[in-house]
Amino acid sequence: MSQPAVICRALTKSFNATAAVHAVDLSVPEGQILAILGPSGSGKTTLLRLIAGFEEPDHGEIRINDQPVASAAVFVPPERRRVGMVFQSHALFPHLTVADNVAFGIRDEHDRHQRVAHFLELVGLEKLAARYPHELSGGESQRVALARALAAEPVVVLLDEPFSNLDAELRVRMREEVRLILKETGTTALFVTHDQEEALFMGDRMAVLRAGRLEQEGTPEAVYSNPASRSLAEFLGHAEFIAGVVTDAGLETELGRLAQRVDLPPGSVVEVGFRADDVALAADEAGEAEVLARIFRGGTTLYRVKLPSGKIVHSMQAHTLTLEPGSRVRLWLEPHHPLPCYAEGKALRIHEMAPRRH
Amino acid sequence: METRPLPHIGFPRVTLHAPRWRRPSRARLLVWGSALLVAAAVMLPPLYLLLRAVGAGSQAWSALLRARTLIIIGNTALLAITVTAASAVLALTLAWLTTRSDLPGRRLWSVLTALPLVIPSYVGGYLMVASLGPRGMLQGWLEPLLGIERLPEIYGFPGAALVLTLLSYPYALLTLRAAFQRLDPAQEEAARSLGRSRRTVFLRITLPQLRPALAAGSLLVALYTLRDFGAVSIMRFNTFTRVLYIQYRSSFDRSGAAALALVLVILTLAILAIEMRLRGRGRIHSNQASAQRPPALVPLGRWRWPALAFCSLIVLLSLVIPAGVLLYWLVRGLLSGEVLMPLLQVAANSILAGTLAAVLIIAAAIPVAILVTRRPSPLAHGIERLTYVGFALPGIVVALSLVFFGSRYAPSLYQTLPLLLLAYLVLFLPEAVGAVKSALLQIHPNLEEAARSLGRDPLQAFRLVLLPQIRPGLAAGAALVFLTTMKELPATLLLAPLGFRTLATSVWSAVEEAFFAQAAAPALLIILTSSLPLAYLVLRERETAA
Repeated sequence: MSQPAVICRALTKSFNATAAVHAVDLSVPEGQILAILGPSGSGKTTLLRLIAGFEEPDHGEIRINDQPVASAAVFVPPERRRVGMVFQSHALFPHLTVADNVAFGIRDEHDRHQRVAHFLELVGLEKLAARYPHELSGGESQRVALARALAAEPVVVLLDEPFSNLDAELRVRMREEVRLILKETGTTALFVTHDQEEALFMGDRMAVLRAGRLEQEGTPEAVYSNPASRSLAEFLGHAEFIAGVVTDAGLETELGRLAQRVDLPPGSVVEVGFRADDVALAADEAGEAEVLARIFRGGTTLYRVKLPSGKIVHSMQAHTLTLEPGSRVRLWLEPHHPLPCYAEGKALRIHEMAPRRH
Repeated sequence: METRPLPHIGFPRVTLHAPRWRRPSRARLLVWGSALLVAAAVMLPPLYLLLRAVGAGSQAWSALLRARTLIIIGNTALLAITVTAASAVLALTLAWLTTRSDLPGRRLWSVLTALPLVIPSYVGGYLMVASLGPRGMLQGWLEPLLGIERLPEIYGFPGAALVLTLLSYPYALLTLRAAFQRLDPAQEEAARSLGRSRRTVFLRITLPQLRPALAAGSLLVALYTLRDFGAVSIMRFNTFTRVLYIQYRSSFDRSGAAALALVLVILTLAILAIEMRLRGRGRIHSNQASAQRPPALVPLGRWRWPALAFCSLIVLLSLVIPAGVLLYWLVRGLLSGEVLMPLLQVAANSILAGTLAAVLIIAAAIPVAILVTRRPSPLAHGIERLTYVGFALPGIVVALSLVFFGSRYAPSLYQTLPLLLLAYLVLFLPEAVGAVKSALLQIHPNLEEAARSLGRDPLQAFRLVLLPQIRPGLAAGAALVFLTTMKELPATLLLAPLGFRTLATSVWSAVEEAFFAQAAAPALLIILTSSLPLAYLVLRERETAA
């Protein structure tokens, strides 16, 4: 792996004695996109502003291209960090044309025109060069903001919830486009969002920031299917938990036996995390579970089911299956990957037991 | 499995270090340095005044305790209370009529009743004396008919109270109108549907909610009265400001004047403090209803005619008669061969002083406003609050303090333009800071940050991005300062260089010598220039409403 373009070590920043960013360690390898997912108030924006140089850390260190830019000894002002920022508000200069906005960060006079043209072409806006920001649509001003940041040839581009000002449909289109451009140009980027789907899509890697702490980092797939803690699993959404007893044959749950092992003695109880799409369901007059509600979701149908123990779980089914509330059913866990297990809220190391059984 | 939970180990923990001290950047030095300089400049008059008053010795202070001081306090209080009470009644009635009743021509009346704001008090005083004075217009008409050579005196309390009420009630009116418009009509409708009569609803629902606005508006009027110099002087009613001026003109006992001025400042501060407390509470009330239907108008029925007569009387007294008198003396002066030529020089002086003041004061406001909006900190807010000292200082007090200071420590500056500009700075910096601040608040800080991350230093970011954005706001602020300076009287009177006559001082000296015709042209010019910001505000209001 090449040298990380951005490194943060033990980065901490407090406002009025509340830590907005607490002891954050992260690194972004050159050419990669790190997506940071965090709820509002988690310190995402503060983290970006620290890296951009708009805030000074209380302690910790930031290195860009292996040069310290903020530490106990140094503080490099934003204009000398070569960090491109794409703001939530886009922050286009209203008194400058699109071309002048893009040209603003290009210090080299002689090829300025060519580079403006190049970056406008990259974002597909060469026809709008003479327009002013108020004459642009949301998606267009988004593209100008990106082109302006890229044209200054930054070491890293920071994107602060750049799509949150766009409507839902445009948001999906823009994130595909932006990801394509960042990848095409080989740009190193740090992307923060509160939208899980966006983070999963945008990041080569993904990190979760909560209450100022970086809780987990990994590929989007790994983070999504194996949250590092029970509370993180809840945060990542649609998570349900069921008790599992450790046996030699696997984990025994009310939803059947799971062919996986944890490093705990037999008889220990763990919490198994699963999602509605891990739960299989079949109509069965003799079944002990009862359908409470059918929630039609379009392509799929979600069934709310009461287990004999009184516990309520959900099962995701194709919309072709129709069961009325009150129907008796049989339920069992049928995951296509090992399910995360938690003891005292913390993730346990899990081992698959081959062959897997249904 | 590529999952890496991140316990907070792995990197060596960076130890806590003491807050580091680094050389502040050039931009930061520049902004803080100039803001502190501005704060020091505006604090000079009040601090020097305090110094002189404290150093005045027991003699000056015992002089302060004499009966004459009590009379001055009594006069001032009587005038302030009378004007405030009369204005409150006028304003409440007019505000209700123009916002809640079906009074014919409500929009026209609401504009006309706000217009007296553009008449400076000394012009108002002049017009009162020129019409009803012993040798005014009325006497001029009556003399050939009845042979009356002198009318009874209108000088003193009645004249001062009448002029100040007619000129200052719009302050309370505007506050109350805004409050009426903010009230949620649904509350009144709810009360009506609960079986209460219209009168009960007004007394028990509407009026209690108007109380903060009524109090705030009344205090504005009280403050105006307390600080007024022009009307009371022309009406020869001995309140603080007039007595201070007389002491300045006649006596060498400057410490006594300083002590007296200090008492006035304390009175002003007390009223200001009450006003600020009430305004804070008033804001809480105003936040509740944002989107609401316009209220149903109360039909006046037979009461329409008395209501119209009442509005007409107010407009007649506060606008039509003054305008008529002004034109009468203007025409009479022109007919009797009054030359307008000297007026050009005088107007040029006013414009020069106003322009210099506008540029200086806006420039002084910029660093303060930048600190408060971009780098808020207790110190920044402290500096901002210091710049508002002008609100608490009547013009005559600032002028006196600078006269004392200039004649003792800076004789080369005394009666020069720079010292006059310093007085303007102290008096008008608050409105400039307000204007620049609101311009800055409209610009998202992301814009400057974008410029910074694109490689520009703070000064370049200001010049290339912020300045082009706030230019209209700066221009509006400068215009406001310019027009306020044009009509300022007491500081100009005391501090202008010898022979430097402005429009305001020309009106003053002409009236002092009862040359009413001479005062008409400069007074008209002052009213015209003062009307500009009001017209601008009204137009802008309409624009935002559209």
